[in-house]
Amino acid sequence: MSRIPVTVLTGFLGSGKTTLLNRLLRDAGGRRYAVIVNEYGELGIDGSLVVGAEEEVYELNNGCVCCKLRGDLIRIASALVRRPGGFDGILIETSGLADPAPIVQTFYFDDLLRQHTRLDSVICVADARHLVAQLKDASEAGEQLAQADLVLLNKSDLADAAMLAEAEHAVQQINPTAELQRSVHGDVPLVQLLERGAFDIGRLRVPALRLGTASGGRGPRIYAPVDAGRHSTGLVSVALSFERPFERSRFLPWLQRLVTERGADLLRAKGIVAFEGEGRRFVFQAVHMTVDSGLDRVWADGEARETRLVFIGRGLDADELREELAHCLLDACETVT
Amino acid sequence: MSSPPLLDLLGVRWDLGAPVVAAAWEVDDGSIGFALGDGHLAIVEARWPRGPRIEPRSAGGATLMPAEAPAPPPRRAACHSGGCLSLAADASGGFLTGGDDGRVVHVPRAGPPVILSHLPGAWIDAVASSCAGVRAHSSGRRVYCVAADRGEVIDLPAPATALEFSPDGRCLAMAHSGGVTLWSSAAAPRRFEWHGYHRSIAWSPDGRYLVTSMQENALHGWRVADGGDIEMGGYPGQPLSLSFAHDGRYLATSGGMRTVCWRFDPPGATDQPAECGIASKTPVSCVSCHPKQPVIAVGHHNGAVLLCQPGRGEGLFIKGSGGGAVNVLGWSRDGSRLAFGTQDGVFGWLVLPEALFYSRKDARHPSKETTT
Repeated sequence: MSRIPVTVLTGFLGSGKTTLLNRLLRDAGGRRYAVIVNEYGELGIDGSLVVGAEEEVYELNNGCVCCKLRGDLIRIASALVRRPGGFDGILIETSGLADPAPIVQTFYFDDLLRQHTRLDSVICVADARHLVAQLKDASEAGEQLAQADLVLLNKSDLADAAMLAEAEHAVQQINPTAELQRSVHGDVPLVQLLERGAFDIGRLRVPALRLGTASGGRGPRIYAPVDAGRHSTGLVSVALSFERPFERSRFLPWLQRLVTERGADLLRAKGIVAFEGEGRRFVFQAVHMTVDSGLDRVWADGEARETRLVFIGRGLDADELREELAHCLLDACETVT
Repeated sequence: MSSPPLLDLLGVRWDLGAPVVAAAWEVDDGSIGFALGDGHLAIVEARWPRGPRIEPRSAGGATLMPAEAPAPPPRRAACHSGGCLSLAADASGGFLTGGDDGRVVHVPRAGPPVILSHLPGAWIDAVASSCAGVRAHSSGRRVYCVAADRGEVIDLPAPATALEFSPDGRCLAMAHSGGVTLWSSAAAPRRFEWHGYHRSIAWSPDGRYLVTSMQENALHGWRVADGGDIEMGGYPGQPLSLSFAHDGRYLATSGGMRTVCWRFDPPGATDQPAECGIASKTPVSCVSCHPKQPVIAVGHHNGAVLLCQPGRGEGLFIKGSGGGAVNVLGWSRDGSRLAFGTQDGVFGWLVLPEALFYSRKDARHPSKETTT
């Protein structure tokens, strides 16, 4: 049974989400989409179904303030999966001030939706001219970037080179795992927007560290942090890499404790991990306390068994994370030779 | 070699290519309505002259008499331009449906569907019909109660997820995020609050208890008289399907790999649930208690349907796997027939004569009332 891919379009008011959505539908080429929008716009597309929804965000009753879900999406998507013939995709456009995390969690928390749909991608559309200012003024802008696997710096024709460079730097600082693209009027080929498999842990994208920016002079490089970007919203990303394998029995409880204790502040985490004595890669991703993990493909011959981790959150301390993780490495107590 | 599933011997099935969203028996058991994801209601005559029979033998056991004529085929009534979202048997006969075209439709016993209400652009998420003739439907936060002589609109704190009249028809329970709101024509509305997202409702047969299933893999119950809370949790999945036993002694639910039963005779503060039925590799998706016997019909995610008994570990095969998850199961009010419908659009019904239960019970379970 093939599951219906779900694409979330997020971004501030005026960033060009609706223009992008219209392009997507116009270029759909006979594919049939169900579109869930916050309010009815000027959408009227043959073969596709447009549903207007009031965003209902609820806390789950599991003692965790960061576990939230969207009641409207449960009702609408549950009905959509019972339409005969199905849909080629479900597209969800969020309102400008929405945090996309509850949408992601909804598709993880609900049994029926997990069976019949799969989250494909969170695309954040940002106005290249205003992104930096928005990040300073509103926490939602950072939350939207943190959840995205593709960031479109839209209206790039209206921004000058300095603005673009500044915006791209800001995105990199908050979410180094996201793919960045400049666009004009949401002019991006369909193939780059759909079937991204961004939540498929087997296709997890954890880019190599930009070693040039690591703080030097630490002797043998066991790990190399990217300088943590700090913004007025307090959002920080920490990227770490480790050449030595981890002890599974130490790493997994550490990860569990991290998401349990820091879940509210941890917006997003991704990792590819090398365990001692395990031929396959361990991969995980998390949105707040919701973790998806598993053993992935075998490490290839000649491939460096390097662990790469990225954490995006509020008030994360790179040194503290590095210190804690060092205790989970194989032979953590012994001296590095 | 195992015997074929009972559906093949005693029942009939169809596939109209649209997922089955809900099923309901007409109030007189004369027909079954299957609400489909393509906006149609499939109506099946549930009387099968010259259908299959089981004849008990005087020496013990029984003889199966195969059908001498085919079952009456379903008739399709076009109700909604999108999909059906909800279904109820109407007290006046026929069925009540709600759809994502904003319509509430009555499909009478004979004749074409009648549009009772139309809210353009809205979805009719739930419908209900009471034995006293009150019809209710909901769209978002708004619930409409319509009786012969008057109508009333109830505004909820959050959109309704389920509507269910009490067995005596006097009280309408409306589930939503944050709890349940109770409405009756005779008294002021009451609200039972419990943090979380409530999605389906079951009343105990005597109307003393109300239970909701929650998104958080748990149930929540209330003693209706004083609003006392009953917490029931520990499910691996969402227990969206709830069914009280005919005598109200236990509540059967989905949400696990086997059927989960909670005592309600009365419920105790430290009760643990009991599991029954076979240990399956696929979770239970749907349960329905027999209206007269301690028997539970159990549907699984792989399409299999079995009968089981509370406190016992075996099952009687009704339908083999296939056709997608069992979305709906429903007994006729007289308990002699069972209807089912699946996610991939397979639906049907079968005859389960009382002799079947007695021969099983007499042989291995002499004490009729023993449940553990």
